[in-house]
Amino acid sequence: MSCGGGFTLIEFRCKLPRRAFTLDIALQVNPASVYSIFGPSAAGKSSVLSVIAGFENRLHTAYLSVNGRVLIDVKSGHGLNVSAWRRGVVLMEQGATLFPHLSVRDNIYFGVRTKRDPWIEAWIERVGLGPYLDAKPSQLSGGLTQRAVIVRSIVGRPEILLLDEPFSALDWSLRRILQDAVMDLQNDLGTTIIMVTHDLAEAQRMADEMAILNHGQILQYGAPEHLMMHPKSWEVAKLLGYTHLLTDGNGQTFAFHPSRVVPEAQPDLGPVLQGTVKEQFLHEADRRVAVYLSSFNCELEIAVPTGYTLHIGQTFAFTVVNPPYVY
Amino acid sequence: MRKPYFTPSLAVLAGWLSTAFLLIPFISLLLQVSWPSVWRVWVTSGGSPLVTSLWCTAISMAVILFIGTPLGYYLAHGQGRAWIIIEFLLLIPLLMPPLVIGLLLMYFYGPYGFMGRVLSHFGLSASNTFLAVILAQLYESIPYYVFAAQAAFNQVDRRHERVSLSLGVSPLRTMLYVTMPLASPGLIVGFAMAFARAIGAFGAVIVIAYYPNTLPVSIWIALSEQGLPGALALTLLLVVIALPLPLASVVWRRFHSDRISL
Repeated sequence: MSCGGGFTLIEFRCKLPRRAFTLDIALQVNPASVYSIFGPSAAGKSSVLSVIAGFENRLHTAYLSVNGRVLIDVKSGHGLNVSAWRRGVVLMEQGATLFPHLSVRDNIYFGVRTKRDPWIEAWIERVGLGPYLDAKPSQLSGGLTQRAVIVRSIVGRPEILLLDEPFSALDWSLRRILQDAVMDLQNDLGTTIIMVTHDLAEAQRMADEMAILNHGQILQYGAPEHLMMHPKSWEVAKLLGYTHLLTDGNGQTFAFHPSRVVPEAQPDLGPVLQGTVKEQFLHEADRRVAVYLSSFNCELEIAVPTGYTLHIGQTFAFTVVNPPYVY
Repeated sequence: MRKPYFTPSLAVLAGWLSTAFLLIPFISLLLQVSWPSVWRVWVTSGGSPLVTSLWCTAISMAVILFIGTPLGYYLAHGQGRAWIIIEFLLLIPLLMPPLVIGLLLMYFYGPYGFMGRVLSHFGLSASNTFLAVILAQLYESIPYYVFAAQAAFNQVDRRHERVSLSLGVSPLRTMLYVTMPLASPGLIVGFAMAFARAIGAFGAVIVIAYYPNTLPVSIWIALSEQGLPGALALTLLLVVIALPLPLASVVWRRFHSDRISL
């Protein structure tokens, strides 16, 4: 999806003191790509979008250029900080709702002078908002409201769209539908999207590139698959779902992820561990097995196929597939 | 919808008793008044004070809207110590007795006061003039609107404003098409309360502007010259003029509160 080619659409650097930490990050985003900022709650993710969108006035040091146009250039609290409404950068905030006093149609077309645009009308029909255009927002379900918010965000065909936990309040199936809608929009418009999320699956599914943010610092960035396979530190690994730090036969430490295992000993794939089955239960379509490893004196969970038969108390060997070696 | 498990019958009774206590004097007046004689007083001595009151109140309210709306907005959203101090200072006229306001106005704007002398250089006087009435009404009523506006703007979810700006809509258009409509229920009630306060302003007005007689001052003159019957007729006129707007605004807000759910 990324057409990179060496050209950077967004260049952003920022130092911003927050209550518990100083946000200190730098990121470069390729045109027509989806860049995801992933991290736990209160890591500073929303602050990044707030600065890029133009809603942070107390900047100490920051620089933002979009397509060569400098929007922020602040040093020691002084300098250029273009107003939010002049940036051409649309922010969809977490929990954003429609304007309650306007109809759905007036909401969607709020940012433009026209009240009818064939391209937008097609999107309205596509996301199922057609019958609700004259309704008030209070008459819409959460899912329909979120669709209208998305369509409202793209009505001006923005070059850059910032999504702050856009689907966090929705159920799983609706999230998938709206993720697909945003991806289609992105393909259709060629819009560059920076998306903040604490849902790893969402980031991995949508992003071309992903940055892992914690305590105001980017710990690692890269393609989602690369990050998952090669976290460079235990802190990153933990954020990506790795649960234990173990040592192999050579005394090297590796990160253990419950899903990166195969039952049985297959030493050519990675370190083999052996333990006693303590408990097993369903985890969505997988079966999770709690195994006690006497050599490490710890208990961990592994994912095995649903039909795989194990018994409580059974001694069980499994292989950790090509784990990342971290410190 | 399920009925609440506990019916607060005692609270309802207390509500009715309080309402009756407050309204009984007014209702008894309405029941016993002689309407032909009231009409006669309105025609003979009510016209001029009514026109004075309405004109002065209209100008005062225009000034209050013009100054009070942005002031209320910045009190709600302004950052920094300055706005906290301004909020605190605005409480002073709100808490001051109207008579005290009148004396202070006389001290400052009167013929021998600092501003009075400045005004006289421009051929203006803030003593016993329309300007004096308007000044007294402003001092008595502006904090009511400003604090109501502050509360109204505080209730507007700021995300709506940010959405509008982010969509490329200018701050002025955002104010006009997002912030003001969403704050309008509170603004209208605040406006109505300030209107009632301004048109009924007496304590400050009588000190600095005995002339031209406003309705409240005329009521006081009628009371001292003709006794209660003459004063009551003009009182009814004031009530007829002053009450409908605040009552209508409260009813409007009640019926529109679910239309604009913030």
